[in-house]
Amino acid sequence: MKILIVEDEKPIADLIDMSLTARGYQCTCVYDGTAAADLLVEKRFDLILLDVMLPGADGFELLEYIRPLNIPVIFLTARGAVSDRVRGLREGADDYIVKPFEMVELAARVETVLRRYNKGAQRIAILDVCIDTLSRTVTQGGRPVPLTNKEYALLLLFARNPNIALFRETIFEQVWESNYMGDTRTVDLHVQRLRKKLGWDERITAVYKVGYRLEV
Amino acid sequence: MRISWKLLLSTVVLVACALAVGSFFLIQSSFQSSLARETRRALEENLLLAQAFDLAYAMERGEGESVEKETVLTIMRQIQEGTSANLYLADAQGAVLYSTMRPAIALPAEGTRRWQLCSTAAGSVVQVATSLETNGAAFSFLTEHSVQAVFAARAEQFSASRLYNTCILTAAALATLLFTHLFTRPVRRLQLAAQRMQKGDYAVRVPQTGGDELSALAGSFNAMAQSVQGNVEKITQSAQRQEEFVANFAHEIKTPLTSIIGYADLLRAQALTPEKAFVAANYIFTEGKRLEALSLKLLDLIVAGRQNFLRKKTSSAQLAQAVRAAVQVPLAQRNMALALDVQDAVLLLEPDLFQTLLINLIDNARKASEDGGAIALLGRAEGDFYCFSVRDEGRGIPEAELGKITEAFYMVDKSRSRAQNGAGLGLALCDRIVKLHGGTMEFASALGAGTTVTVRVPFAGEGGRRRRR
Repeated sequence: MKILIVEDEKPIADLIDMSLTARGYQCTCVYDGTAAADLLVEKRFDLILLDVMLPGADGFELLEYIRPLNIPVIFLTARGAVSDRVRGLREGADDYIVKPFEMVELAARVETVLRRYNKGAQRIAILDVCIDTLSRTVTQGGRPVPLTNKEYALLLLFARNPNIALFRETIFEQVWESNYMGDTRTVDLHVQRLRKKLGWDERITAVYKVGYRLEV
Repeated sequence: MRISWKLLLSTVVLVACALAVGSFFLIQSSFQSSLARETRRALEENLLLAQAFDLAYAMERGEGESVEKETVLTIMRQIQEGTSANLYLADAQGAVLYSTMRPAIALPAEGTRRWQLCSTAAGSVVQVATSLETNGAAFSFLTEHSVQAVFAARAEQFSASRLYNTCILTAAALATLLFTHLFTRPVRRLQLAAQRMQKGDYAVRVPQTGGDELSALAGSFNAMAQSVQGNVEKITQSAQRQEEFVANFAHEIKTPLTSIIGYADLLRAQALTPEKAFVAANYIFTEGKRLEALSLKLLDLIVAGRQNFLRKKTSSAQLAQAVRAAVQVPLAQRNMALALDVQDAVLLLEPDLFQTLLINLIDNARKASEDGGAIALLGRAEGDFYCFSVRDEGRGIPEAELGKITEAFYMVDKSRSRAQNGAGLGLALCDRIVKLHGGTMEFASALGAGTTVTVRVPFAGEGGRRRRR
């Protein structure tokens, strides 16, 4: 999966590059609008992460150029005003993420947008488990494993972030989609049940005091 | 109540009173003169008829004989035939000898004549009573003359005048309505304009016609609208600038924050190779430094925005020496030195702020220059002003950008500015400081040849005492 990162702030471009590379994407970074347009002529990408404030051509101008290419676009911006978001989405961006953002959230949005374009991995195979994101079914060694909604979302989160320590608040925010209120027992309980159902006691390891990691 | 209704009502009342009083007196005076004429006629008639009776009676009586009642009656009948007046005759004792009327008037005393206006069943009449003395016989001779026509004429005049007055009144009312409508048109226009202004249409103006008070009012209204529009525009612009500042500020702060948070998260969540871990830690450090520089500049900006600050007598040469000492180390790192050519003069300045100003300008010059490039600080008196100039031989500023460089967060070359920890606030700060001192700042630049910034501040003399907001 090839992703183009158009961001004039090199630290942020590198940060996204490092995070997404760790999750198995191939990333290319460009630092201004005209370079991005030039690169798009030569290469095909599956997704573009686009900063709004760019030297050369700005994000909205570039979006006009990208639209006929039918490549999904996620806007990155420091401007969180509703009018900016509306403009971005109306002009054809697929999603919008406001700085500062967490990498887990960015990865989740990238995955969602790719899936919408039927580009995302519909089947994720990890260890002996196979997750079919279309039918939302999980099989282990060919045998179906019944999971609740939250357990399924939790498994998906681990599968998409292998070898990355997931903090309890991150897990809570991603799976329960609300702000972390300091209640860790819910997360712990669901992780316990997931370990038990999949027999992953050794695979999902506790990161001391802060969270869990799926070791592959 | 509308002004046209008020004017209408007052006009109607005034005209109605005038017409009523006028026509009443006119009709009344004509009635009085008619009545007087008729009364005169009644008296003459009475005199004439009395003489006729006297004559006839004297002929009948002859020499000392008494006259029969029948004879008197005959005489009276004859007289009655020749006149339209009603007659009445009584003897000295009051016995009625002849009567075709009902006397309302008292019988006259001997040798007198009286008259009286009376009302009878047949209408108004004038009765005249005369005392007659004919050959020793005394009579009371009364005549009655009708004046009903005079009264009828007056009644007719009254009813006619009511009709005319009503017509005149209606015409006057219509004319008043028309005129007030015409005269109050500018007022209505003003009202509409004021309503539109209230709804936020500040571009509205009213036409100014004629030279009356309303036209003067329209003129004042237009002037007021003009100044309101100007003020609103000013406020809108200032709000826009504020908003832009905040948006830029948010961007400037969120960008390093994203990096710091992101790399820190990367370090704690992932097992990174030592090389990658170093890159991440280094980014955290440099972006943290950037935030620090930004916060320091903001602090300077806030300090420079203070309302009152103390000016001290400062030697320009000493100030230049202090500046050179402050920039020596960063310049030396790039193999540069600051050349000084400053005329000594006593200035009234806030020395710390002014030093910040000059250091910022030299810092900009350093960033614009190649390693080893020349930078000079010049100072000389020019009339009432003292000029500091910072001259470099660096890359220069494109002409199109010159107008914008003192805006907060504006950067001509963002990536280079970032690499040198620039926040885009330096010149905004300089501009603020120069304005606080009541001075001006000018840029002269040629691409590739260098930039000269000239700061012009008023001398200690007059400009120094003035306090600027």
